[in-house]
Amino acid sequence: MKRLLAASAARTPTFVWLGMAGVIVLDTAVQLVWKSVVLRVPDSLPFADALAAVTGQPAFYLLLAIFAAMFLNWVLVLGQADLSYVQPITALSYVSVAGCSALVLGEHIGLLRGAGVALIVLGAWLISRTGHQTTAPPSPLAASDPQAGPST
Amino acid sequence: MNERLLGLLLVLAAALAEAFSHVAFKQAADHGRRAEGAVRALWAAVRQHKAVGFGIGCFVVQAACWTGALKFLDVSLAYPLSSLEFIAVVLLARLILKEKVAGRRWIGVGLIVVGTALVAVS
Repeated sequence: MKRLLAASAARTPTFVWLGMAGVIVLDTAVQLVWKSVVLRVPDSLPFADALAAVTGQPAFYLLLAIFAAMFLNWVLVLGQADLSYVQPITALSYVSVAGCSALVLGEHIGLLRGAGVALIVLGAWLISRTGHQTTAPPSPLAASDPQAGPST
Repeated sequence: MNERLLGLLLVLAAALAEAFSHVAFKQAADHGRRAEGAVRALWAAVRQHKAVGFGIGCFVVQAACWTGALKFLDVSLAYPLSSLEFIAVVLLARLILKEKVAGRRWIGVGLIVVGTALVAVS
């Protein structure tokens, strides 16, 4: 266990950083595409018509494709790092969404939002200074046993 | 039960449901850790049908709870509270997955919770 913890304290692999960057980029894309889909649906429509208006847009299928890519990327990242390490760091998507909103949509970033962004960045940086993996993988025997199911 | 309390409970339930879904996906993903290459790792993970199914089910529950919460609470209150999800995830990762959560990681999570709440209310 000591060797495992020592190894986990080593620097985070590039693969994990790329995966987390992927989560943030895809999450930002989801927010922007979702917003564009919702903006094209009139407020006054009944639920069934609004649903049809949403699913009738090509951007909706782009949204589904991004969700699928997010899931696959997330599973790959989780396979290589602690959940308590990667999940809080993905809060950096709040920063990228705020940045994109300011740059692309011209939205104003006030003092409160700026302070929030700074705290998120500081928190993510602190977490990045901890070991990215502190648990051992399940044994190959458990992985190949169809009756084993998820271990707790 | 008044509507505000019910809304708060639904926000908490949504945060917990999302945290459980991440734990389930993590349990599935761990089965791909020994696999060579991304495709084999993915295949090993998605074969964990119980964990993946449970995770997707929890996401559906989370969406239902969140939708319900928004019926009883203003978005300006519900959205900042949803950052409690980060605490729920780390707690469950500690308790169920037995991850070692150092003090520095907890401080980082605390800063992120406050930061996301500030972004949400701004």
